[in-house]
Amino acid sequence: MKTDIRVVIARNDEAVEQVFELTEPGAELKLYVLGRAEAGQKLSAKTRVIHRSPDTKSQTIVRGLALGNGHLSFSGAVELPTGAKGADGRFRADVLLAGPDATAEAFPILEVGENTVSAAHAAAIGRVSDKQLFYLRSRGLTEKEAAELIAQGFFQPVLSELSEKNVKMITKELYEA
Amino acid sequence: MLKKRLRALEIFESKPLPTWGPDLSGLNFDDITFYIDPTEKRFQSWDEVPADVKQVYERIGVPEAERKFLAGVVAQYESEGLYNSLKDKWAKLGVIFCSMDEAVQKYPDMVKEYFMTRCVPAGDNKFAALHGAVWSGGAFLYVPPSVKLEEPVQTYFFMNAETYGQFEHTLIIIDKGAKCHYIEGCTAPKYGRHSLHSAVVEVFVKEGGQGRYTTIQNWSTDVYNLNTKRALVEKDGQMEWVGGSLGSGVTMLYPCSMLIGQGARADHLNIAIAGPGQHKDTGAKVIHGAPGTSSSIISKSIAFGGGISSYRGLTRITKGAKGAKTKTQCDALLMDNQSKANTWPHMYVYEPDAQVGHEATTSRIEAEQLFYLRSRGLTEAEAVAMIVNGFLEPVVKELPLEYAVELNRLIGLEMEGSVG
Repeated sequence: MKTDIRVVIARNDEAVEQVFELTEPGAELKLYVLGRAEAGQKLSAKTRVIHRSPDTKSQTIVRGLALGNGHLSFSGAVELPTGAKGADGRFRADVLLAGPDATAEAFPILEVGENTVSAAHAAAIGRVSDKQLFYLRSRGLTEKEAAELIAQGFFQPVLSELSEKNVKMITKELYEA
Repeated sequence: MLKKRLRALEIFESKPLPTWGPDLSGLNFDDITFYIDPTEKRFQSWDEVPADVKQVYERIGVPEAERKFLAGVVAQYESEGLYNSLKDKWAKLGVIFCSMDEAVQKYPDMVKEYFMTRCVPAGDNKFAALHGAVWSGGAFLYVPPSVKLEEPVQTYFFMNAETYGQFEHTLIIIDKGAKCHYIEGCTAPKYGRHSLHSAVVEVFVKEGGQGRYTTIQNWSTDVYNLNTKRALVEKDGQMEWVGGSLGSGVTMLYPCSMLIGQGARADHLNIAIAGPGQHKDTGAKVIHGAPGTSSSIISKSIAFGGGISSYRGLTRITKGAKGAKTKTQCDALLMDNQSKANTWPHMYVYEPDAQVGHEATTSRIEAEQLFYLRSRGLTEAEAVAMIVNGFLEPVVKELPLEYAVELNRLIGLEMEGSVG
């Protein structure tokens, strides 16, 4: 079955919950949740992926970048209630606090009522990891250069998976949120 | 103390019942007796104790004398010999270890300073307020500066109904550079007379101190277990919470570490088992309020036979807590379709120079794993127990040996017939 790809961009307004239900057996969803908060901005995104059928598969990929004193808030739920036999639900959030007063909140939620599933989530918030810094510094960059490089390329892993037309649209929305 | 109690009662009455967690509507405060004479027995003789209760003790290997206490047949059990010799040794070092009631009389200044003041104030939540009003029993432990207690301090030592009261208060003060491991509770099922258990544990770890609080709870399933446990950790202090929630009907417990001094550290290890009719809402709270603080949370939960097990956690990095690092790992094992496992972490990061990580998985026992073990000659029940014990290993290995052994056996017992 063809994977359904969706993108949610974090906004300034009160986070409206975006719900994605996998109702067809075998349906697949890849959900990207992106947010880029500049100085003075407070952005949020709230998503819910519900597996209503067997053998469904979902991946929620959250990437957030906060610059200056920007603030990001992400709430992402993956639900596999009874009946979602053989389903696979995953969630991963990476939030980079690249500004001197940047802040973030994350609420990754997992609710499982069916035991024949695969369910996992992971979240990482904060400054650039020590491992990444070490690697770049071992290649000759200063800590500042390394941090800047990582912030600049932060959305690249996600954008590289989308079609060019979508990338243009998404980048525009991301930078103008 | 009376004034404190009255004020706490006011607070209790003004707060509503929390509705964000498990259903507490079955609690009827008018029905609960808030003070039961600790010497009152549940069963009048060993013969009255139900056969299945006796069987559990047999299987776990609980010593004869303890069984009577645990079943509520006798009100007191003191491992006199061992306890008295340790008591003398500790007294010489300046350690104070007595019941909380005694401490109010003998050490009023310390009680005034530390009892429900900075750590768990009565206003913290409705059940802390109730506790503040009606508390009785519990233990008081003070470890002087630089005194390192190598043997764990166990409430086992004066295992009497007083220390296991429904509103017991444990107050532990570990002074600068001191070290202490406190163990409370027991693996074997404890048949109480009380339907509500609202204990409070307050731990103060002063500069450079090391504290570890181990607790295994296995109350009978007619109990609401709603506790508040918190540690205040100062500069370079370390706190470890190791816990297992096996029994009770509804448990709400979120051991909390407040890292208020530079370089303070907290480790939380937790097991929660939710079987038929049980709802466990447990987790951890860690607040990083100073630079260089670090913490790690490992939570392992199992749900079977319709039980509900939820991890509810809070990690907060306050502004200025530069270089703070925290990692949470919560795993849930879901044994069947009737049970539920939820993970609700909350991460608040208000300091960019920090690293916050969280991982969670919900899984089941794979058919291939079972097949492999059965092909090696184990019965299905034995195989399940082995896999479950392996799942819990990161936490169980931190328990004192006798608890670990008892826990493994208990799980073997619980898992029998849970596969399906």
